[in-house]
Amino acid sequence: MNRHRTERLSRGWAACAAVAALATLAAACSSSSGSATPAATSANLVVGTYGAAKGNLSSLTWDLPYGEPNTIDPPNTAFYNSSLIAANLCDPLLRLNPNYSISPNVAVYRQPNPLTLVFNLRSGVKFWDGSPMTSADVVWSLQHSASPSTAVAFLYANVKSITATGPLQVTVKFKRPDSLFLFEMATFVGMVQEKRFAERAGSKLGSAAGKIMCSGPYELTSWTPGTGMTLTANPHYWSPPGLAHSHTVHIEFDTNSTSIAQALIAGQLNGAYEISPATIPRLRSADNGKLIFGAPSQLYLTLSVARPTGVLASPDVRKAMFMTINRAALAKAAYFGAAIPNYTQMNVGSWKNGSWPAAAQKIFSTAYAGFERQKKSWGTPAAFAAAKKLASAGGYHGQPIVLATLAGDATLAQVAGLIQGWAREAGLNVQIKPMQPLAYSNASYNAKYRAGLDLLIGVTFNNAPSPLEPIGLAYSPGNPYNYTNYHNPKVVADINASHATSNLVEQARLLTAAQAIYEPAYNSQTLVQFNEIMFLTNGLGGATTSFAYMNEPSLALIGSAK
Amino acid sequence: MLSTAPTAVLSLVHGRTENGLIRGAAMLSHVRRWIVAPLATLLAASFVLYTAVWLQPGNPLTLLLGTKASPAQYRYLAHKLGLDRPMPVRYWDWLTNAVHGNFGTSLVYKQSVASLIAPRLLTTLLLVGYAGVIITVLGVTLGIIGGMSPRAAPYTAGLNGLGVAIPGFVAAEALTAVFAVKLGWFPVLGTGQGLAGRLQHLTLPAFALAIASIAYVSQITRAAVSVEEQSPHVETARGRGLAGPRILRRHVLRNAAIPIMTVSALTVAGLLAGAIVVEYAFGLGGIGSLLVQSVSDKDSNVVLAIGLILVLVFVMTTTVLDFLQHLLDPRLRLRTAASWH
Repeated sequence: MNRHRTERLSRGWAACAAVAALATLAAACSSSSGSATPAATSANLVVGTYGAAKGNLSSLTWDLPYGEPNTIDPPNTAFYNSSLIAANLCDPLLRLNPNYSISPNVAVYRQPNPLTLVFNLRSGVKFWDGSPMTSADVVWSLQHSASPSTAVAFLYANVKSITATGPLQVTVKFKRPDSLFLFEMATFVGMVQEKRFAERAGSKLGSAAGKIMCSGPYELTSWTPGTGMTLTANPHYWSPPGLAHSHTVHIEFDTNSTSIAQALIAGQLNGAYEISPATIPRLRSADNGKLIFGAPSQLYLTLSVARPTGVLASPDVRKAMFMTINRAALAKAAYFGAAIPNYTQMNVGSWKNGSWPAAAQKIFSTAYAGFERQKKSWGTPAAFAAAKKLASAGGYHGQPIVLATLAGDATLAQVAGLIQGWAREAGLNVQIKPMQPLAYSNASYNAKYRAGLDLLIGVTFNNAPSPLEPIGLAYSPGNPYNYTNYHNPKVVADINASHATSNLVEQARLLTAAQAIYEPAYNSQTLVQFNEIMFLTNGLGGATTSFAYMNEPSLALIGSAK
Repeated sequence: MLSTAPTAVLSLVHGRTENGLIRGAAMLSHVRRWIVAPLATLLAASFVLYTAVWLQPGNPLTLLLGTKASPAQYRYLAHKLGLDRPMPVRYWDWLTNAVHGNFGTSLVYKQSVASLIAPRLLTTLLLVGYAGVIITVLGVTLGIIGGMSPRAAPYTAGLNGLGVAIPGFVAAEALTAVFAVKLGWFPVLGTGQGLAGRLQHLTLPAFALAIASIAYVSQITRAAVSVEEQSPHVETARGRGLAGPRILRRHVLRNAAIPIMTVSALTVAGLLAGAIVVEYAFGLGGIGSLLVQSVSDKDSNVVLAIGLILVLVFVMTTTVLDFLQHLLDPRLRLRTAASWH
């Protein structure tokens, strides 16, 4: 796949960019509990971290396959390229680990009651200009995140107030309990900037002209539009173990998957995240570095019914449509056999990660196994015949089923072609409609842009490693993501109860109870769970390879393996 | 004498007046041709570009707010950025600011269009300039060889056919695979630092961009040289025993220069818009890739600025060509003068 930079248009929390990753189910399962150091000769490495950083480097050259960030103002960096940069420049209140567990960072927290969160700031944390980080900076940063002009304001919907309750203490009060909020504080949503600098920068904050002032392990020393960025290690970083291993990081903005692969093979680049699946065969055989598939990951491929009306309004026709899809074959054919099939609307990576205790994971996996047994045989000749009968019983007689995909995305085009072919086997007439990036992106949240569409396919990621994030949106009445206007009071009650409890085992029980009700409606299905694809040249180690790289100072962690 | 004097004076006065009128009319024509027409082209282009971007489906605020923002957030930001005003009002605002040298701010990158474009424009200009030199030197040389030597003609024609048949993107991949990855002589991507670094980084992109155009310019040069080679004045020069290089320089190339110059200049100007493929192939941040991205993003201020730069380059190229053609070819000057008698 040529990864056109236009793909970033379909970003956001439900970013629809064609990204894939590779893994076998077994490998993904084994890695989900945490990090691992792999055997260097393995063809398909699936790990959370790769090797160890034993020494420092003078410089590192890294590419952003999604191109130049349009901003590095943290709350507006909800995308692969910009988030990676922000995570290496700024400190979030809490720290996200490669297995998606969270730990203290520039703050420790306590939750005296479900409606109150108290952050006690670490003393001695300084911004690059030497100013100490105070509660005023944190309050400004969180209020800035919550402002209506940011992409993450909706995450503050349950927040009542953010106040400084001491020079190094910030208290967040909630209108309603919000179990996802704490996790968001370990991402770019909870990153701290210097208030004075940010106010002075005004509307230019985060741009190449305005820049930012943060306290992270790297400092932004140059940003030439269209050319690249230079990050330099922050010598006064507050956490000695967190000091950057490489003195300088040169960031390239190349978006052409072919030249990225060539530059990696030629050694001009030391590595990159979000490697295009199309270049996997070439990079897999490279002898100067290693192609790594990172897990856990929050990237997945979804196929959603686009509207409450039309030919897929019939539950039978809808189910028949999904019965034609062979998810294992899809993972193999379009993603070089390295993505894993997924058999529920919840993506496996959303619950199979370090943020969930074993007891909660057991609840999810038991529920998942039932759906897997049911759908594993779909997409076979027997399933085509059954789907044909079911569709016919649902009143289907050859009407076109319009499947929207992202124009210019070769991998998604291939996926759409496979789906069309399988549907034809069952007598279903799928017509593919490629949409321009902006309209395609708009279609993901605006019904106006979905007029005339029956199915919408795209790659999505969750920011929080929890099914509550996508499920909460998809099944809330009136929510723009509830494409089919699905409404079931029990599902809504379970989702609301999940939001309100911080007991993760109870959350798992509530979410799987809701799943048992909404799954048979086939509103949306995750077809494939991806892992993160990265490449790292020989001699380097310590890299976060899971999808958590986006919110970790992942470049600072990379050092010499010797 | 007395009877003829007033007539002579009158005729002198009339002659002056007539010459003055002709000169004035010619001046007006030049003003219209070289100033008014280009400005009108730019104005029309700006309106067409603005309308085209406006008509494109999709809400550009998605790029800023993501897909999970509330409708109220969209309304808030649209109002804050003035995107909720009617298109003609927004276009007029843009136009009045542009006249004062302010091309606005990028919606996506939140910085002035000028500061966003400047470094990219430098990259693209260097790339196109480098490719232009390659095209002119190699294209014209190959064309002259082909046109002057019947024995070499089939070889140059073969090379031209090969050059025209290789798309820029394929050339880019092949050049990179051989000269960057295998031999390691040049970098795969990036623009480099300093003049030497930039030239080293831009060598492969410039060749990839130039290959098809070299062939084109070579073909035109060969045809023009062949025609001149067989013309009577060249035969006469040969008959007079003039030296070959002198005939080539003074009698062949001088007459063949106009089509060669015209094609070369328009080809190089066209590369500015066509550089996008090569910029993408080599990961160069030029204005071509930014234009494509900005069209996709509906970032109208950036689209307009880059679009107008491209139009301006074409307008300037054709204007300069027009001027040079008048300078090189006395027949054109005479024709222009005659048209006013």
